[in-house]
Amino acid sequence: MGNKENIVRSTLISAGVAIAIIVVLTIGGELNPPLKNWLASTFIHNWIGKGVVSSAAFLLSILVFSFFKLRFLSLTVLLWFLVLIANASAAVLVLFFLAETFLLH
Amino acid sequence: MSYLLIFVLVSHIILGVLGAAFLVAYLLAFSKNRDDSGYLTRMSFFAFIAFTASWIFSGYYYVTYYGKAVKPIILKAEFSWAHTVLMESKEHIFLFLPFLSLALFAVTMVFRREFSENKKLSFSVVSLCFTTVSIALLVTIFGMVVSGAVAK
Repeated sequence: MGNKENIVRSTLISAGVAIAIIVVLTIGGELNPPLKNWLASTFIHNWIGKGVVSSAAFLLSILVFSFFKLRFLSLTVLLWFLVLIANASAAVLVLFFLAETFLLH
Repeated sequence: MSYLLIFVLVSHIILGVLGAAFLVAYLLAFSKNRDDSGYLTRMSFFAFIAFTASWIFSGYYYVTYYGKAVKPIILKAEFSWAHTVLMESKEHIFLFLPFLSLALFAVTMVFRREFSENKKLSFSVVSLCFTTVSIALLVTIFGMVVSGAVAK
């Protein structure tokens, strides 16, 4: 049970990490075309690249965090952390593309 | 557009809506204090599978057809922001859904027996589920607007 609880906590943290990576790659790719081109040339399409990199980071993060004893982290706090990351990331992406469309161009 | 692309396009919509429907079922069961914990685990697992399958189908459509055939039409038309704001946001926000639903499934599978006793935990689980459904609905609405912009 203890190991399962640790994996759940690792999964919650890793989901937040994966979402943050999607945001960084998306905005980074728009502001820095070589990054977007690298994703496109390495993974057929930059969108596939973002999916592959975030999924790989998610799995790697679960593996790394599962080695730590995470019982000191409250499950409720981790859930709220993920809720906050998801909502903030969605808002940041919409606002970024709004700004890029109507302000930057 | 080939029959394969039509199938893929329609499938990604149906699977995405199904994923959201499984999570709404999860929320309804939760709100009724339904003590059948296997039901919550199944709903969250089915949602994860549906979102992941939708991801694969939408990726195939987006990479092989949308960028070459649909995007140029939208960008030349009156509502080019449908692509530059809504589609760009939707295609990236959508990537959150498999991670969020998998996290919900993991929490439900291991901690479901604590939901009825721990109110703080159950409220945070419901918030995660509600966030995931909200994001799925946002993506669906954006998709409907983008589809409408193609005909203009």
